[in-house]
Amino acid sequence: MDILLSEPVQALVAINVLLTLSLLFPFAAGVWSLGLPGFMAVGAYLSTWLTMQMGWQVGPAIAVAGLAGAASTIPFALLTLRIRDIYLAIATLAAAELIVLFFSHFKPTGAVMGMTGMPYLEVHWLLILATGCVVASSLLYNSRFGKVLVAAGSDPMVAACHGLNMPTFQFASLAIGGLLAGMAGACFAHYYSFISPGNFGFHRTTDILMFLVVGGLTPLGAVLGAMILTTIPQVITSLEKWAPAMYGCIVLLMAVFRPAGLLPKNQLVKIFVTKKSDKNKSRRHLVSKDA
Amino acid sequence: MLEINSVTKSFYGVNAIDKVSFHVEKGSITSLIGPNGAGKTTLINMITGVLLPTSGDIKFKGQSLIGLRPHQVGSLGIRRTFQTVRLFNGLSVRENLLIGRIRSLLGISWLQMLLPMNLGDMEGRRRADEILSLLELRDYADELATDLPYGIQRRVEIARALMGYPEFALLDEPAAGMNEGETDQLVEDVKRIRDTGVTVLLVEHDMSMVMRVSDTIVVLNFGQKISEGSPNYIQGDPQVIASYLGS
Amino acid sequence: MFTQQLVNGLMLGSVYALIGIGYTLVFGVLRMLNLAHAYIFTSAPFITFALIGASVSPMLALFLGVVGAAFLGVLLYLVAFKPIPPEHALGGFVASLSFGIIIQVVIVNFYGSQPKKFPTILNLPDFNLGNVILSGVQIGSLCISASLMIGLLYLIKSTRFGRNIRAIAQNQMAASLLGVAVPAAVLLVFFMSSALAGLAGLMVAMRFESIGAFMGDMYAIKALAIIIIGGLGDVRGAVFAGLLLGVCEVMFQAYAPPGWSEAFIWLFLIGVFLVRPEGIFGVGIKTREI
Repeated sequence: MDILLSEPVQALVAINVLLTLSLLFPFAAGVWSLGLPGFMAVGAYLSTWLTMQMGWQVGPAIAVAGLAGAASTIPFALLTLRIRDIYLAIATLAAAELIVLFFSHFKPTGAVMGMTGMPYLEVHWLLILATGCVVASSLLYNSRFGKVLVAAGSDPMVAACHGLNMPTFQFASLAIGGLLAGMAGACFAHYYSFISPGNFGFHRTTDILMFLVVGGLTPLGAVLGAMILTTIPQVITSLEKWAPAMYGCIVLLMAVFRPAGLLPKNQLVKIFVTKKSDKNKSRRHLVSKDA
Repeated sequence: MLEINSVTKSFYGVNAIDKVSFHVEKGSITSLIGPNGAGKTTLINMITGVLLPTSGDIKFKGQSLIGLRPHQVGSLGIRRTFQTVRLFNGLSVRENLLIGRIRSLLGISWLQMLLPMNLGDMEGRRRADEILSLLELRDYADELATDLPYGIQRRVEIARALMGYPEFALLDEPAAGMNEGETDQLVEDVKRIRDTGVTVLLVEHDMSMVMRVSDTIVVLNFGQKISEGSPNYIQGDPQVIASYLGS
Repeated sequence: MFTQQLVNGLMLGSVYALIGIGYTLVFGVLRMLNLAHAYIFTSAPFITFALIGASVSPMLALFLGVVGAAFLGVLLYLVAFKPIPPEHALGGFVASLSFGIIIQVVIVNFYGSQPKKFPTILNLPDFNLGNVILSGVQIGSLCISASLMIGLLYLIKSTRFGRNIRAIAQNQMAASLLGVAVPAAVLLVFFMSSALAGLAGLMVAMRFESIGAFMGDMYAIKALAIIIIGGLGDVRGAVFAGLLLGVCEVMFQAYAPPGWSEAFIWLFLIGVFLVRPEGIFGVGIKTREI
């Protein structure tokens, strides 16, 4: 059990929670953006440059990294105007690859060798940031803005008929994703004090995607998925080598038995509501039979 | 209130609608019936601006609707439902109704956008409650819309169309897929809607429902109007009987 | 020198094409992308490697590698695609990915993540044409690939099975009502596409005499790009785009500054998305209408 409380595990969970949330917003809005590694890389490299070359404090660097992550979603947003679903997923994958490829060949950031020596970020800051983002994400998801995102993900055409400007909201969901991924990248850089293009590969995307699918397309679902799947291989350390395979098995089982994930849309709300209206419904049923 | 004047729609030389004329009285419930392929949905699509008539005119309160885009027709006070129910998955019934109140990220106040739906926008929530009561959906208000039985989802679909205080409601096959009990309920709902001052034009297949709810019935077949009148009249019209039974 | 690069390009291109054909066939009948494809590609050389290590005759091991891959594909279908309802498109995507990752992790845990030497199975002589040296394996691979591509094109276009597949791709319900045995056809498609992937994997293994748990990754993602460019669901597209892009990649590698050979394919892909999303041969698969 104390392995769960160990610092490295906490840090990893915090970073994964941020990343899973960053994938949540676009996907909940129906935007299948796999640009995560690109935004993360931008955040990581930019924050490193800020703290190492410009002498910034880590805190502000993370904030700016987030903003940069959000800004780098702009070209991706343009893609969403033309394509959707699986095509968008592949296109954003390609665009993210381009970003990472750029960093692989960019000498000032160490190209393939990466960068090291960043100022260290304490774990408790990571946890505070992660918790803050979880709270903010939940509030946002349950606000009107969040409802529009869910509507957009459910049926964009009808949503548009209701007067909702789909592109604006889709861009916003992407930007939020970029913000979170950028911050996660900065945190990653300053906790592990080393980054290289290899950290931002397709494997990271697939891991996070699996967390999201297992957890469900809600903030709490994302957090749950990230927490559970990150900690399982840590707890059973002998199985650490098998971690991705375990994720794979879990996802396969979930996909067959519970495709919507552990905590799909508004599941918690549902639990409270059904209890109340169950009473009313059975009364109603009797009434209409008599009539 | 709505005037269809000698409207024709031809697709590649075939007349889907052929010189159809009728009018809908304000405050009435009019039903448009006819065998499959008679052109009913085509006509609805022309009224709502999805299709352009080849010739003829459609007037709403004296104003021509020809050439208007769907959202423009909507803002004149005409709302429509679709044959397939398309509620938002993941939103409750109430939320489905209220979603139309949110305009754009740039149009609505930031505060309202970031608040949950049960705060702010008193007008919208009041209207939603009003409609939920009218259509007896209050018990389902906070349930996830797509988890509900089909018949109830259809009511929600209609409820959603009523949110914008429409003057004219076009209901495209609202009874499709409903059982008897649900259809009875629908008849009551349509009458209650009419009683609040909304004019209703209904496209339907379910004859018993149509007979019970309509003030006027217009019958189409092969794109042409073959009869028009009260339910009693239509029931006795030999041409109508022939078109349904085949000649 | 140029001809040498051209041949290398065609070789790479035919690998891409074979992988791409597999992807495109599966997409055609299921409207889903099989993300485990790359890992099936990787599995075949390892199956062969394992069998040779167990003293199975090399030629037999080669054959069984392909067959093993094919059956792995069938298993993949039964476990990851069949149980998922079509409305959960993301589910199929992710389930196949998971299956593939499981394969990869198994390989990593048994054989490590470093490349291993793949034994020389066929001692084919090199050919000398002027100042171009073509290895026997290259020629052999090209011949096999070419005949496979032609054979598959013929299969899709002119045989009953090909028509069945095209029918299923257009409208699964109608096809089954017209008497096409859809489940059997889909299984056969998976069998074939996985066999192709396995064969491609073996060709690469024999050409470079090395295998690694991660060898499939790069081919896979690029082949994905290729089928989009060629047009999803169209075998001609996979062939054409595969060959074209293989040649381009090698040319960029040889004559352009470093990094461009990789970047070029993504840029091309994004370009295609912006200009002609349905791809070169595609017919425009609309995902949503009124």
